Amino acid sequence: MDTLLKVNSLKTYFYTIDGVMPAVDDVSFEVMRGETLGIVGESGSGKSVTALSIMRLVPHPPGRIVGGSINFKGDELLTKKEYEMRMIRGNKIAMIFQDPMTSLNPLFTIGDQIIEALVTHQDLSRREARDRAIEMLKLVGIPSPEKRVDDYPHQMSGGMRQRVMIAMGLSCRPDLLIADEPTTALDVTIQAQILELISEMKQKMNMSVIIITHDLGVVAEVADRVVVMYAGRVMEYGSVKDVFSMPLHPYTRGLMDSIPKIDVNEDRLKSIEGTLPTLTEKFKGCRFKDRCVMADRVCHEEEPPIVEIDNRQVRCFKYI
Amino acid sequence: MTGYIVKRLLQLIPVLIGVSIVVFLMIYLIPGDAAEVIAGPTATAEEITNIRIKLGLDQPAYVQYFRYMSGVVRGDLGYSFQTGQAVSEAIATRYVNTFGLALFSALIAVIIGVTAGIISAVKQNSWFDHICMSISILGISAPTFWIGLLLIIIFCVELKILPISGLSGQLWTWDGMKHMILPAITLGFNSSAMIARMTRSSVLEIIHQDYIMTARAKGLSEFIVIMKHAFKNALIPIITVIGIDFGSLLGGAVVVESVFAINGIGRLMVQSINARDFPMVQGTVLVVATTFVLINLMVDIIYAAIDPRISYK
Repeated sequence: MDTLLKVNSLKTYFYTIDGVMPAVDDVSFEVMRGETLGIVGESGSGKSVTALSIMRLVPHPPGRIVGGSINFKGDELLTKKEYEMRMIRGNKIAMIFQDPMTSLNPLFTIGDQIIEALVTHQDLSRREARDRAIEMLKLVGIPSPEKRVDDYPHQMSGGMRQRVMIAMGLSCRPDLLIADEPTTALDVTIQAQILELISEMKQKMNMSVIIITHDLGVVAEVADRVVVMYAGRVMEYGSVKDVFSMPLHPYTRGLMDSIPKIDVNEDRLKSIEGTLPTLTEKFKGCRFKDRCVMADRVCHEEEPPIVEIDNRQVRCFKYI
Repeated sequence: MTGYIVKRLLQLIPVLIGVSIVVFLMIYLIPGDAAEVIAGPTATAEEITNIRIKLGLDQPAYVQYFRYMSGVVRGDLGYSFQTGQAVSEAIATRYVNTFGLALFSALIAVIIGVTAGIISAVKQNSWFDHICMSISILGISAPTFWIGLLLIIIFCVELKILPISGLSGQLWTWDGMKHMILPAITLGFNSSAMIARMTRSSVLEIIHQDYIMTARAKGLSEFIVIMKHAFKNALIPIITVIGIDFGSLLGGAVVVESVFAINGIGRLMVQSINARDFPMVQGTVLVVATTFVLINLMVDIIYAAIDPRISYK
C-alpha cells in the first residue's frame, strides 16, 4: 500500500485575546491508499482543526497553520496557492460534516448543490452533471432519486441529508473523504446505516477515509488505524486491532474504560475525571498529567516524547 | 407558491377594509365637522345644516361609509373642499413625484447599502468596515433636513451645479431628474445606512453557518461562496428593511419634500390637514396606507421566492 496523505508535525494555532491556543500541536500521521483512519478524542482535542488544516479551511483569523507539512499524493498542500487548493477541495479531498441538518444550504435544491460541485471540478454540462447527481443519489441509497434531486433540504430527514452530503462529497470521486463526526447528530439506527454506507462507498470507489469521532465504537467498526488525540497532541497511534486489544496510553485506557459494558452491571458510568487543560505558554509537562492516574513527578516537569513500540506510537513516560 | 400568493392576496382584503374604516372614522375624531369648515367662521347654524344635508353628513355613519367606499372602488375619492379639484386627480400628480423620489432613493440606498454591508462583513474589523460603520451611524442619526440643507449648501449654493429646489414640471424629464438628485441622495443616505448595517450583521451571521463551510469544502471560490450561498440566505432581513424603508418613503417623505419643495404626497397630506380639507386627508391617507400594505405584500412574496421553506407546508 502506498501513502496517500502524510501529515508531519502539523501545528495549527489560534491567536485569541487570551493568548495563543495550540489547537493542533505537532501532529503526525499517515493515511494509506484504501485505508480508513480514525481520529478520536474529546471535544476540543483538535481533531476537527486537524481536518480543516488538511483542507486548508481553518478560519483565519484567529486560526493559522504555523508549521509542519501536509503531503498529499506527493504534493505539499501547505505551500499551495488558494486557487490550487480550490481544485483539490471537493475534487481530490472531500469533506462531510457533523450536522446534516445545517450542512446543506436551505435555499438550494439538493440537486443544485451536488451539480455545483460537479461543474466546478469536471468538464460537464449542467445536464450531464444532473444525470451524474441522480446517479450519485441512487448510489447512496436515496429512493426515487429522479424526483428527490429537486427537493430542498427541509423536505428530507437527517439521515437522508447525510446521504446527500456523502453523495455530494463523492460526486467527483475523491481520493480522500474526511468525515467529521458524520454520525454524531443522527439516531443510533441511522448511524449504523451511514457508517455502512461510508464503508461501502470506500470499497466501491477505492478511496481512503479519515473518520473523526469521539465514539470509539465508530472507530472499532470502520477504521483500520486510529489516532488518539488529546489537547492538540497525538497520544497514541496504531492499528485499531492493537490499540483496542491493548491500549498503551493511560488516556486511551481511560476512554476504553468509559465505554459502558453490556455484561457488567454498573451503578455509575465510568469517566475520566477532570477537563481539558487550558494551554498557556507557562504550561509544563504532559498535557494529560492532571487527569492521569499514573502521573509521576517527571510528568509534571517535562512533556513526554512520542515513542515507537512495535509499529505503534505512544506519548508517555511509562514506555521510555 | 401560487397557493401562497393567493392566500396572501385574500388576507389583504380584511386589512384593506380595516384601513378604509380607520381612515373614514379618522375625521370623526377631529373636533368640528366638514360642514363647519366649508361654511366658514361667519356662517349661521342654518347654513351649516344645509351643507350638512347636501354632503350627506346627517346620515348615519355606516351609510356615509358605504357611500364613500362605493366611490373609492370606482376611483372617486371626493372633491377637495379647498380647491374643488378631484382628490384622485390631485393625488395622482403628486404620487408620481413621490414614487419617483422613493424609487431613486431606494435604488441609491440598496446599491450603496448592500455593497458596503457585504464588504464590511467579509472584511470584518478592517479599516473599510470601521469607516463604513462610522458613516452609517452618521447616516442613521443625522436628521434628513440637516443632510438636505447641507447638500443644498454644497451643490447648489457653493458649486452651483444643481437646482436648489422646486420640482414644478414633469419628473421624467432631464430637468425633473436634476431636481430629484439631491432629495434622492438625502433620503437614500439615511436608508443606505440602515441597509448597510443590516446587511453586515446578516451576512456575518450567515458566514458562520455550517453550509458555508460545506460550500468552501466543495472548492467554490470565495466570491461564489459569499454572493451565492451567503448572500441569498442573508437577504430576508435585508429585504425586510428595504421594504419598510421603501414603504415609508412612499408614505411621503414630508420633511425632505418640504426642504426641497417637491410637490409630493407627503406635503399634500400636511397641507390638507392644516386646511382641514377632509376628503383630501382621507384620500391621501388611504392611498399611502394601501401602498404600504401592497409593499408588504410584495416583500412577503419575495420572501417566498427566496426561501422555499416559507411557502412550504
